[in-house]
Amino acid sequence: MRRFLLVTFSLLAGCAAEPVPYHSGNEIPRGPGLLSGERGEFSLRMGSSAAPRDASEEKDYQEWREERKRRQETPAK
Amino acid sequence: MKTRLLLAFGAAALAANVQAQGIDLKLSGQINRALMRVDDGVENNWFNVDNANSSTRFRFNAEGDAGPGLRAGILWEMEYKSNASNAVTFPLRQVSPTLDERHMDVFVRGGFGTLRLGQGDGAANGASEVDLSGTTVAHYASTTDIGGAFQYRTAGVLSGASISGTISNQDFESRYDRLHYQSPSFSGFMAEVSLGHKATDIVEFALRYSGKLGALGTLGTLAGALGYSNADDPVIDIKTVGGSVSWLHDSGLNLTFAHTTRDLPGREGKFSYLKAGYKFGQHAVSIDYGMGDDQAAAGDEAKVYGIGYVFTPLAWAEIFALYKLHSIDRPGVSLEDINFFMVGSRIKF
Repeated sequence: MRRFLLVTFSLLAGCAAEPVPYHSGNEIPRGPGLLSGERGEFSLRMGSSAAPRDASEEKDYQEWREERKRRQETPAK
Repeated sequence: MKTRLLLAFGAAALAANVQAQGIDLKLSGQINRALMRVDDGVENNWFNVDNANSSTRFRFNAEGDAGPGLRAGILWEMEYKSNASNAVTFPLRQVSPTLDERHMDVFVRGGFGTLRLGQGDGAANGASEVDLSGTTVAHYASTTDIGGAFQYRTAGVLSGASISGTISNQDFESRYDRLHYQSPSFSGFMAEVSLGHKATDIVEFALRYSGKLGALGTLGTLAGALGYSNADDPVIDIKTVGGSVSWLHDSGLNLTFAHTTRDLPGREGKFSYLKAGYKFGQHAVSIDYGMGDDQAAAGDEAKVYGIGYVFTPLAWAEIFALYKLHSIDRPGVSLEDINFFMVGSRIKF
């Protein structure tokens, strides 16, 4: 069974075209929050020089928006 | 040990070196509550629970520049469960809430990957729980998160054989105080290793993958992980090996499979899990089947069948429902099935 999992995983991954980040559904969801709004987080900026938003976080947010758009475009059956 | 200490001090020094200029401190969290109906063949009742599939929790995190090509920060996440769905039983319908640690670590990341020091995920945590179905808040490979403390009955009395003891997904060593390294992503592949201590010394490895399949991603999305852990127990080194793979087609059809084995004194505990689902618009539905063999005792064959549904009416709100049936075959003993029905909501705040 272990070997089956290893082989299946390797074969399927071998067909890969483009990496996408995985977010576990058991963690705090990505996207908006009831109180925190569109960004989904209360943010307190410390210090005077405003650093740019972390690139990976911005990517996560954009991916969530695209996923939401795709889901809205999928017709309900 | 010296090397580990040096690495630990290095990470801490880098984190401390971060200037407090232009750093975002972020707070987020969720509340996840449900009503759960349980019938063990003799007793049945309703429970008002915190859904341990994804418990009520909050998180602080912050990250800032720590030098050329380096970022450092903190992650602090706690859970606060009142009447956890994996803790209540008929004799114990009310379980007081406790504030429990999930993550408390400092990290530094750069082109080399991410190095974490403190309490948090071991390298292989979740490697048997990769799932793209969209119904994990209702059910997933860790079926014991709902009703795990309930015991099967024999001739009307509690047998001592609990759901969590007989059909655990054996998801490696969870979270602990550790030093954790995660490689950068290479075409969707990532390697992880962690060294730490819980009740015993622990070492874990994992290989993870997540990506689109086929030319232009036409075959959907695939995610998976393979893990290995070794807990240096005084009686026996508890080795756990296994993983999971989940495929989501663009049509919404999805399939998930997980399998783990764990060395136990005199036997090998096994767990297998299958799930098939369909996602469409704001809805996701799935059925699953799990098997746990030889986990609490040699010869045990525990099974679970379930059906779950998740409706996401708003981006920050999910409503879920679950029905599942647990059963077990134990040589020489007749044990009653246990039925669960649960309905609830997770709200991100």
